[in-house]
Amino acid sequence: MTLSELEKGLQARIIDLSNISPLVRRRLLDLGILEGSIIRLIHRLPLRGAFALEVNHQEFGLRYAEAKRIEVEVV
Amino acid sequence: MKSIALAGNPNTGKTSLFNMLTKSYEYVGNWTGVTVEKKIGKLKSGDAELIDLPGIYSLNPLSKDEGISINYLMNESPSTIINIVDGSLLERNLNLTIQLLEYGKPLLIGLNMVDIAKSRGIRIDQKKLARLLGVPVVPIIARTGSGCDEILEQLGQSASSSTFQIDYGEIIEEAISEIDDRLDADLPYHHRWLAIQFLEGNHVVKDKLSAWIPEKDLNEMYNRTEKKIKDTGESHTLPSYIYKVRNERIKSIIGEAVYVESKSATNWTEKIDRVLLNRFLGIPLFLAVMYLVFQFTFDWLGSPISDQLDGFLSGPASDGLTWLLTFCGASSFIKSVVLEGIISGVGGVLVFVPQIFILFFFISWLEDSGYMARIALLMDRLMSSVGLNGKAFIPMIIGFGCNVPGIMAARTIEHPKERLLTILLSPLMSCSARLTVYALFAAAFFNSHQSLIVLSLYVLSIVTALLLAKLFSSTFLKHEDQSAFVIELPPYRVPQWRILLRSTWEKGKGFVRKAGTFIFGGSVVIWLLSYAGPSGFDVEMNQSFLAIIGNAIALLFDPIGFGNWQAGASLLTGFLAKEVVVSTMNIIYMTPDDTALQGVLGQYFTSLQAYSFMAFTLLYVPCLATVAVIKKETMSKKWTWFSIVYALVIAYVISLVIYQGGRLLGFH
Amino acid sequence: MIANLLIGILIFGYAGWTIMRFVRKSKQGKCAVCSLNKRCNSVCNDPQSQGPKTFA
Repeated sequence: MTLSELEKGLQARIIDLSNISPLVRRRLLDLGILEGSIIRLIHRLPLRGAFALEVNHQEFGLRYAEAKRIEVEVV
Repeated sequence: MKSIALAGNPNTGKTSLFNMLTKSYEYVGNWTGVTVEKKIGKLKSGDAELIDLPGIYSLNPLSKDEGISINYLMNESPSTIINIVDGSLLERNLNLTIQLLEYGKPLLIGLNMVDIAKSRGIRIDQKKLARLLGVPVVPIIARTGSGCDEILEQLGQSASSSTFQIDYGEIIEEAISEIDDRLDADLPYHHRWLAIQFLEGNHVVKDKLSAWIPEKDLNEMYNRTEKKIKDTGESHTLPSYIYKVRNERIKSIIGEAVYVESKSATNWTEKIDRVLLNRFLGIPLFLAVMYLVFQFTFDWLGSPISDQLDGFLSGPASDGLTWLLTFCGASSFIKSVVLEGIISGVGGVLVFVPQIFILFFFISWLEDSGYMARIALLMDRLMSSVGLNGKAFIPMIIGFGCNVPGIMAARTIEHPKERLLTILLSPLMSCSARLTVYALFAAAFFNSHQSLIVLSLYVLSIVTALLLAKLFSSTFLKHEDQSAFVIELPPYRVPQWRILLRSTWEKGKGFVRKAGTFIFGGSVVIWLLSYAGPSGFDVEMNQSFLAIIGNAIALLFDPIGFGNWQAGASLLTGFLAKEVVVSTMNIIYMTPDDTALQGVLGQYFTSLQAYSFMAFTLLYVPCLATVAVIKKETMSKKWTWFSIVYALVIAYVISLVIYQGGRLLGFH
Repeated sequence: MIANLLIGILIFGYAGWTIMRFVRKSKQGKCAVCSLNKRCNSVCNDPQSQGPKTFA
């Protein structure tokens, strides 16, 4: 499944980041987020708006379009 | 003099520490990318200068502000680096720390936010961490200044570089020594650091290296090494391989020096976000916050205080001055320049100091609380639909204070076209100088709905900016390539009074200073132009030079509702700084204070004309300082001229629509 | 009328100076307000931001 399908409050492991844009991948890496990281969905804004996510106690925001390209598995 | 650089991840408290270690004050806030310019200050102990650098995650820059930090490290030579590390996000922070250790200069670690880490059950053994990294580690709380003395003490001791080194494996080490062999021994850089950064894909370092090694050879070396790494099956690319090796080492360091106790403290940030980022409430709550800010700035707090100040300036202050001038035996010319020029011009602007400080107070509060990044998140959906980025909302809100720092804040936007678009549109944001015009007109014509009228102008500025963004981004600033929107949402914190007041004062003092300097000078000149005419001095106002100048352009303003020379002259002088519009009006209408001016304005403007005038003042040309910053930031004369011309056109069109449309609807 | 002359010179002199300074400072833009402007050689002429250069 993709990150965009994750339910609010649930945790998942990132499996594949290769489909997102290099710029976003690099920023995620800067935040220490890479394949294998455990990610949790905190909020989802309406109308395919941004996502608020959490990895390692750090909250960050991401666009729907990017979340759709991130492959995850629920843990 | 020695120079010491402050480096670290964004929003870890570098500038807070900078303010504590030096006597200066620089802008702080709670979001990623507050500092977009390097700042310099003298250390309190007096023997070195401290340089505050914009936050970076790694030494390979993505955005313009990050580039500044890297360029500093490449081109200047700090004697020591203080690396501020966020203890609550140690793993991520150490990635930069290791790159800084490899840089080879003496390093000192300031371990910040240990309190947040502790609340999450994370305990860091500083001594062990120091031993593992080979550099001193000093625990600090940058916001209160605790630990500063130890930092100063450590800086006083002779520092040596760390011997910390990571073995990146045979393939990489081979490439490193190959580069090492080809570099002159006397270069002012650590060869090993240059080599690692180059292999990690750092384009700034690559540019530097190409001065000594032909680019062709560099590319060949890079591809060859990358292929070898790929063949081992460990990683697809060189950078990700190096990242991986480094990360393994970091994990082992953390495994030794960090203890995690499971502790489930209440996560306030998440609780607050549950409300503020709520699907349905998020945006309405943001609008409500802004509305409250304007209510305080105008109706509830600002205007009553301003009225008091106005009363004082026009009453006791000018009476006293009149008496003093008479006592000195001043001529009527001198009396006139002081009372009709300076008091009217400078006083007319000064009375708005309370409103402006209140607005700045709330902006500071937004900046320090952590809400700013959430606003960017909330707005991203809307912003991306017009070709902008949620992050562009931060420069816009800062622009409500002053457009100049707003435009500079656009540096954190990674995508060049989105950044350019943000720079071009930021001047439309209604800055505090324009507030003086609204405050004056709103009080004169819309007394019972002041904050609503002013809010409508702020909304107008944002709506115009968004519509233009859509227009520009779908025509000449089109970009197909994906933009990036990844934004850190820092933990909320309760703003400290000390920081809030300081930050408000630092923002507002520019306004006061400007009133005492430039507005003073401008008022004198404008008064002189209104006092003199072709037929000599002390002419009838309508025969003055100012009237002639104003009349020359008044015709143009007739279709948008204010074809009198007074409006023309005010707008013309307002290009220098928008407060001057108010100064000029005070001088032209020869009123001693704003209350009197409000009465006089009623004879020259109708409510509809007044609104049209406010809208025009809001949008027409950025002020001189803003134009200069646009030129510096875009490095293009073309875009600078464009920003002036499009603003004039859009201001005219919108005022035309307001005035003619309003008349059709029966307003007057 | 020494007092008149003195006040006049003071006012107009100061006014002229402030305007000149303002225009000069505004034209210089960001580097004029930067505390490093005398020594800095990397901010004011740093290369144009190099676009989204990343590694895959």
